[in-house]
Amino acid sequence: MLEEKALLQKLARGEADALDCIYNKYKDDLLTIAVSRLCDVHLAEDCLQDVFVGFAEEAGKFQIQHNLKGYLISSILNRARNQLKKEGKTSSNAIEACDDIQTSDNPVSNLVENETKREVFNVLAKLPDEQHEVIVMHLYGEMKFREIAKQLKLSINTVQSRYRYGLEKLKTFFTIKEEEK
Amino acid sequence: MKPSEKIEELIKSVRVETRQQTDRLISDKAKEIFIETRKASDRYRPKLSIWRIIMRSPITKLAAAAVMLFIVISGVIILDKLATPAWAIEQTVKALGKIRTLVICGEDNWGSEIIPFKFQIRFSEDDNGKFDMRFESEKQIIVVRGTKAWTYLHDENTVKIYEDVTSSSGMMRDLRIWYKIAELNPWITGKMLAALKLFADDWQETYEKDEQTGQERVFVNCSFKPLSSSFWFVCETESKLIVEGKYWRNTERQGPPVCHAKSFTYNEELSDKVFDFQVPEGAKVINRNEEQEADILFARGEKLFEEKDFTEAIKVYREAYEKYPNLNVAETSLMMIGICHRKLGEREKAIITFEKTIREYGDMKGWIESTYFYLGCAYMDQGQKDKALEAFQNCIIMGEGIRDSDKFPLKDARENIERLKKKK
Repeated sequence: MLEEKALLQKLARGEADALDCIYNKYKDDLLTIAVSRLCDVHLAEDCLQDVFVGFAEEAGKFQIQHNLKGYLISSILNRARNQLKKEGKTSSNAIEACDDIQTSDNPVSNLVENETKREVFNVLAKLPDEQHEVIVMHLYGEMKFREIAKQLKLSINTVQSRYRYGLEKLKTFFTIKEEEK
Repeated sequence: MKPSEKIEELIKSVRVETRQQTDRLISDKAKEIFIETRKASDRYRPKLSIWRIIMRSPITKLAAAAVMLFIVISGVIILDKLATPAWAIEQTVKALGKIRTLVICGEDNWGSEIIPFKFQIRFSEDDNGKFDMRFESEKQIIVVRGTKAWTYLHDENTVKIYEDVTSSSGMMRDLRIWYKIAELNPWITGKMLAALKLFADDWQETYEKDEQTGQERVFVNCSFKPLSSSFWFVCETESKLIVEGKYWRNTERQGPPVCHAKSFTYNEELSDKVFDFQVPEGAKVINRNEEQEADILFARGEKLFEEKDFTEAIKVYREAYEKYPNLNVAETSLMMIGICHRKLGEREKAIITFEKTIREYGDMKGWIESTYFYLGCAYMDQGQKDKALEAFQNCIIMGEGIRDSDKFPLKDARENIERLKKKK
């Protein structure tokens, strides 16, 4: 948190190098979160670029006041959702696209190296938006429920129950997958 | 089936890493954009020091008074775009610089209510940057006398006293907001001249003669999309002074304006009496210094709560409640004590505390609807469905029109009511 504050102060002073530090700090988490919604690494990279360039532009104009991590995660999730809408897909039919990934020239199979990864992303992307966002914020963003509640303007109870229901669903999905095998 | 912990571990273990070429591309692009935007906005970004200098001039001293005067300042700036032989911004600035007093009467839009206001300001004859000011409407009174200020909110019947409005700790909220706006955007300083030329391209001007006085006036329309704001001003071409103004929080000048400054009276004699502040009978008086101390104590409680040290947090919240019973922080602290008890599994104590909060602070527009919500939850913990239902319903009643019905706690209360009804 302190580090985040210092980086934002550096940005406010116009030190562009702070952007590198912020990018390096969050890039993998953000990309993972985008893939978990889109099941497509190339699209996820596009989202990451949009989010980060958008952030740089905002940081150039104003002094950023938000909780940086929460802000970036929310931004990438919004981008990913918009991307799905643009592609005319819902989270569930994005899965079908992911299920189709078999060939090596497919971007996902290039980067999502093994079956477990694919399986996890497939299953995560099946979750409804509100459960998915809470789960990825907590597990990939390492945000506390209280922080998530603040970011999403929800009560802690709601966040916790969304998380719990989401995990229950994941359990069911994994069970079905295992049974299919 | 995998247990939850294992699923959490599994998800956490699966990550995707960015490729080096992607990193380079994004990083370079982001830095390039950052530097470009920074350069562009630096041209218009008022530095605080500049702002302080500007604050000494009579024109911008108006800005410190109240947010509604945004229109006056913006108006002066917008007029620059109209620089014609009949009119130049320097003339308006110069004309305003000679002002010793100003009275503005108009209407403020408070939600759906239109509230008349009167604003009076008198600048020190020594030109030392000091001024006396009074803003009065049915909703509030703000008086500034030199460096001391009073604010009074009719609905809360509360007076707040600021011993030194110029110190950062004593600065009034509006003034702080004003500084923040100055820091964040270039609208309200001279820097706006350049910015406006770049961005506000839908301005319109019309020259007309006033039927009553025969004087020529200019009518100005302008909007600024990034702030979703639009303005309308009337300025006399002879005196160069603004005579009427409107400000909307949309770019199309749709609906009633947020503020309509209907009349401007310059250099009228204003006696000392105008700037006297009398504490209304029965009003609660709060000294801002006390409020700050209370905030610090409350923040300590919040930190302990965050650290899940609920027992210690209760002690600190209780101290805040007992030490500052008349401040809003007392109500919040009491509610937080209830939440801590609930976290500690002390359901009975939680209920007693929430009920106490409602009993003691039920008339405050603070967290009372949230307290009802948590009370409902505490009753639910105990299986007392009827009482829980009643508390959730009270939450909705208390929050109606104040809180967003689609957000916490109203939304959650509605959901819990449905859940309880299904169980019945």
